[in-house]
Amino acid sequence: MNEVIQGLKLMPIDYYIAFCSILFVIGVIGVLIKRNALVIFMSVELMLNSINLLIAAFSVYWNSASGQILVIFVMVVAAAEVAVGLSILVVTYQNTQSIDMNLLKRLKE
Amino acid sequence: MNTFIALASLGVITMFLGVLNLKKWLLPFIVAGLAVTIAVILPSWNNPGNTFLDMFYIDNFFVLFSALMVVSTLVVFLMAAQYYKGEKRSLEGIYSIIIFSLFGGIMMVSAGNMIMFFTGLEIMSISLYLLAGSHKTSYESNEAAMKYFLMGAFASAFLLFGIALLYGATGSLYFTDISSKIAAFHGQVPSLLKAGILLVAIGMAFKVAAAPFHFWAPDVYHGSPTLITAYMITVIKVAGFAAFLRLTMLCFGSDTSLWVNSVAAISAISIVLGNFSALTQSKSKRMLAYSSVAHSGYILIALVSIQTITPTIIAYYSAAYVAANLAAFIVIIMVKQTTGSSDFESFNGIAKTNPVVAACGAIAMLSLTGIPPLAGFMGKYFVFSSAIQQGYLWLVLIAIVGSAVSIFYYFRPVINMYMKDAAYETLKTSKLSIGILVMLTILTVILGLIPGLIINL
Repeated sequence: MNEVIQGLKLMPIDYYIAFCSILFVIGVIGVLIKRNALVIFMSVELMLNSINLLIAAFSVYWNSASGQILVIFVMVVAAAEVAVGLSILVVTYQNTQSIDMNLLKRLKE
Repeated sequence: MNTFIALASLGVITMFLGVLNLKKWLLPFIVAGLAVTIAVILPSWNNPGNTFLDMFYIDNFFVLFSALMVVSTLVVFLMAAQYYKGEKRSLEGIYSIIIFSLFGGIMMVSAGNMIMFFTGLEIMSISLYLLAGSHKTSYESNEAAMKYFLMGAFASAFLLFGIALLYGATGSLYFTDISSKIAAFHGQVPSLLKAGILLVAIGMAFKVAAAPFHFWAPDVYHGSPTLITAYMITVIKVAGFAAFLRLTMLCFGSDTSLWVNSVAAISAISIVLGNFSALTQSKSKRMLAYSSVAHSGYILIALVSIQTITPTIIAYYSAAYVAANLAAFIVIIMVKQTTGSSDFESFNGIAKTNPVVAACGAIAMLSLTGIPPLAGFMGKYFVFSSAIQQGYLWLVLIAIVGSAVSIFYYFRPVINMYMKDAAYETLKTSKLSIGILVMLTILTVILGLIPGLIINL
């Protein structure tokens, strides 16, 4: 285990931060420009997973296990979120026959 | 800790009551269970004790806000009796999810660690996504749930990214550790930490619907079932602000210069945008949604003056806000069940058909506007005066102008109630809902006359 940690520490923490930030920004862009609800879900998942990676990297950097616990909590939360989100999606599809976000505009009127 | 056990078991047992076909006992059982929860919370007053390796703070702050949240949930459940009258489908699912989201809110308010804070926030939010869509066949409810889910998950990701950066900058997830690390930087703060605080603040602003992160609020509050809107606009808002306050006091309080200007800006934008957008609304739920955005701005003023403000002032403001909003929503539920719509025109002539309801609704609106001697006025007075002590006169001036503007839209339903004629004989009411309405109104007046009841706690 120690060898793994030493290996992970060979790469400066800045690289991890930059890589995870790029992944996160890709997720943000996906949420903002995509109109299909399923793709937006996937983009949110990408955001959460990039954060998980970042927390794991910091956890190694600080030699602290609490970050890894947070990663597991985030995974559980993401799974719950997807379960709820897909059920909302299915109910919406039953009523509107579509999952296009552009059609969800009736409340504005 | 006992609070969590009581609430979690209440939620689980509520679900099983439905399975056992004991529908008649559902509401009485929940009311009794919430009363027990309050009884479990109150002994912790002046008797602090942290649990789970200091990850939860059970102190006066916790007692104040969780008691307020549980009591407001109790009122929401009493409203449910009328709202779901004659409903064919089983309701135990909705009721237990409301209890679970209350659980998440209380977890968030008492958290002393980022993991518990985030978990509580998500338990609360995920339950709310379901509740917003709980009217499955209604298109509006679907749309509200979908928007709330996507925006909420997006905001949670920002908040979590902020937590990750804070963890990276300080190496700890405990609020107190982060706070002492921030103090140890002596102003030479790494950009990682600044970005982290900013992202956490943005995430929380999303959750409490503060402008410019409020765009989901009007649609979600309007599309959700009215009872759930009442729950979201009161209990969830209080939970969000209590958690934000806890975060700023324990975690970021050691160096206020890092975030205070951003929060002041968010507050000013919320007040301006919330009040001016509310002016043009013709539907009461949308109007109250924008009004809640404006109220987010007023409470954020309290966060700006964090050094002089005490939690009791924010608890007082929240209590006044909750009482007035719940009263307004009881009136809206009555109107909507009678006329099928919640537009301002539907309020016409309530003063002639149901004078008590009209009087209570008018007092609720006056309290939200901030007319003395009601509780809403005293709440604003305390918050504004502590901000002036901190030198935020410009912010208070904006807030006062905003309050003046708010008179126009809060008075529109009142004018309709008193000046126009009704299209129906009488509102569909029940003794219980009239009783709660009168109680809430009396509470608004008493709190306004004797603010010391909460302030001096």
